[in-house]
Amino acid sequence: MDDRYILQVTSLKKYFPITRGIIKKTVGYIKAVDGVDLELPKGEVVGIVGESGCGKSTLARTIIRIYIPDEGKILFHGKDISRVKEGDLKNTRRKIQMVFQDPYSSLNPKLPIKSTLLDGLEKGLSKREKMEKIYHLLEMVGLPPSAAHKYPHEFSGGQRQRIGIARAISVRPEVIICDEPVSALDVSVQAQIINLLMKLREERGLSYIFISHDLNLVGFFCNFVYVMYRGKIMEYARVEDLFESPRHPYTLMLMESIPGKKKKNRGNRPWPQEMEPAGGCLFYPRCAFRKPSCATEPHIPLVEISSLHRVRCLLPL
Amino acid sequence: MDQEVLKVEELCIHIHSEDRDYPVVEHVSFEVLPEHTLCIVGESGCGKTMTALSIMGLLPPNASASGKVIFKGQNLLELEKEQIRRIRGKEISMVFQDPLTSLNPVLTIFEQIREIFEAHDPIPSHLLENRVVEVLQEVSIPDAQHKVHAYPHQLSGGMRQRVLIGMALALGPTLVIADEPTTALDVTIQAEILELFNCLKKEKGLSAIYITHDLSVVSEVGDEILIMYAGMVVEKGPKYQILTDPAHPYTQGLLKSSPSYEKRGRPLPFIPGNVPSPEEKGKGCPFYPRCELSKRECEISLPPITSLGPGHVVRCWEIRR
Repeated sequence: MDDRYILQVTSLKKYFPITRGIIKKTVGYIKAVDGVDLELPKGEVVGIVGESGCGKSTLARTIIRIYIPDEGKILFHGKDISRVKEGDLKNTRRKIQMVFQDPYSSLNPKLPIKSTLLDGLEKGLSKREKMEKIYHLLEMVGLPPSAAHKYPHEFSGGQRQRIGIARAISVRPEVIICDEPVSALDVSVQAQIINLLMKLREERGLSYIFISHDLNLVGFFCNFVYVMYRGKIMEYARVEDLFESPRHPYTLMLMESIPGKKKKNRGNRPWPQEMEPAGGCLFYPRCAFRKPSCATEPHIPLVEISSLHRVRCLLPL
Repeated sequence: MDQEVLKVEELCIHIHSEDRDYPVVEHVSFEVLPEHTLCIVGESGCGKTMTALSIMGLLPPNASASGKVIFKGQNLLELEKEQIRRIRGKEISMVFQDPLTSLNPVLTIFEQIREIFEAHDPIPSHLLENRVVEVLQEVSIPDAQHKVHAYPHQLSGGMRQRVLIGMALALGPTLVIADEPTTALDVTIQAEILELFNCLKKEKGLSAIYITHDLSVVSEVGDEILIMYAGMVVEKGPKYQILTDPAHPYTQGLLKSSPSYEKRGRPLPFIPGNVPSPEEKGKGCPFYPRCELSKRECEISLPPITSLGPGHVVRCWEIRR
């Protein structure tokens, strides 16, 4: 264990069974997270990008143990939490919080905001001290004190996301996992929330795992990026390296799909004839740079090609 | 050639609720030139979809439109239901945001495309299957002969969007309205659909209205841009001009506040506050509560449209000075 990392995930797997028929016989598995290694250095922002269905949200939910991993370790401050019993998880859960995409469905519509925030505060405070803490939390996320007495439906989407963030920081976490925190918001409001997350990181020394499909956002906000495809990490690098010299053909394809970017080497992308590769590289059916050997190689490892830059490809660019 | 395909003048749309009416689109004017794409950009609730629906004659029953929508010499807002039905789908067609809800889940693709021909342009049944396959081939759907008998859920999101574009183009319309056609798709699929859209538009000499909330998409499609805010046009002009030298504070704010790799390391400039709801709007400029340049007169009266150059107009008191 390396103590530079606040959170370290090794060979994490989460498979969901596909069942058929009345007795729910298992006929196969969806490999949502298939052997993922991930490191979160203290105080940094680590991004996970990929298309919908690549397993990025499942990965996040497995890290905070909403799902129980099938295999692998989740080290938080060097302690493995992947097998800890539900009852003993409470303390760790405080330290790793999550901010969800849709702030409306993640707030209780029947409770005023103060009740939602009250749950996270430490025990043994007087009523007045509690209210002061709540006002302070609201101030930190840029909401007026009067917000404490209102209900979720009285707020706009951006304000609700601020409440979601206030709730997450109310338990003094060390890590926040943000799952598409601004994709449901209007463009002019997105920037407000991103700035808020940046400010909180500085003030509270938070570390973030930031999940998004929006490469513009990831490029702006993250220090390190993992590119995920069909449950596996395809490339990992510092954001500068990833944006300036992507080495995996899939990363390049993502970069060139950003609207407004100059397209240099998109090439003729073959149509995916068979969506399910028989073996070999998962990206083979869509790869513009593929060679016959890519389809047959049984195991393609994630290789470190330079310092802090790893690629899972036989023919890196 | 300069004769515009569609001309919208002073379009206003009101929604009637139980106790009162409120405006969702006010004094919107624009034209679509032949073989040009006009992008309508705005955030949720700015009235961009309502504007499109009024052109198609598809406004919800509790909404009413006034003003003029001139297409081929007739005002579409004054037409009878039957007359507009004949234009809709044949001469003006629409591609919606969500390809799954706009396709009928219990009919195959073949049956859905057949309905279009039956409604507008009946063709003999022995030619029908070939014609339907052609529609799919036109939007580059691989293996169209087999895909034509698939149900919508058997196709991926990108394929479904291709089917919808194919359906919109099947009868050779003059004008296509695309309402956020790529918002529900992954970036990689979005890039493919934008490419297809541009390619078909050029090939067929179509005019189009492309509605989006995403300014970065606009750089890939479109010739002119119309920026809407709270039901009004705040700026309109040639694409290049708007993206590089925007005049209205809202347009400037939108461009500055969109994140990108190039802007990393510094706090992102942002527009304070929220989009006003239709009930909250006052008499003045709809953007004034969030505008850093706002003055007393911005609150009291609505700024008129000011021309800044060929085709470039803006609605702002500060610029008028």
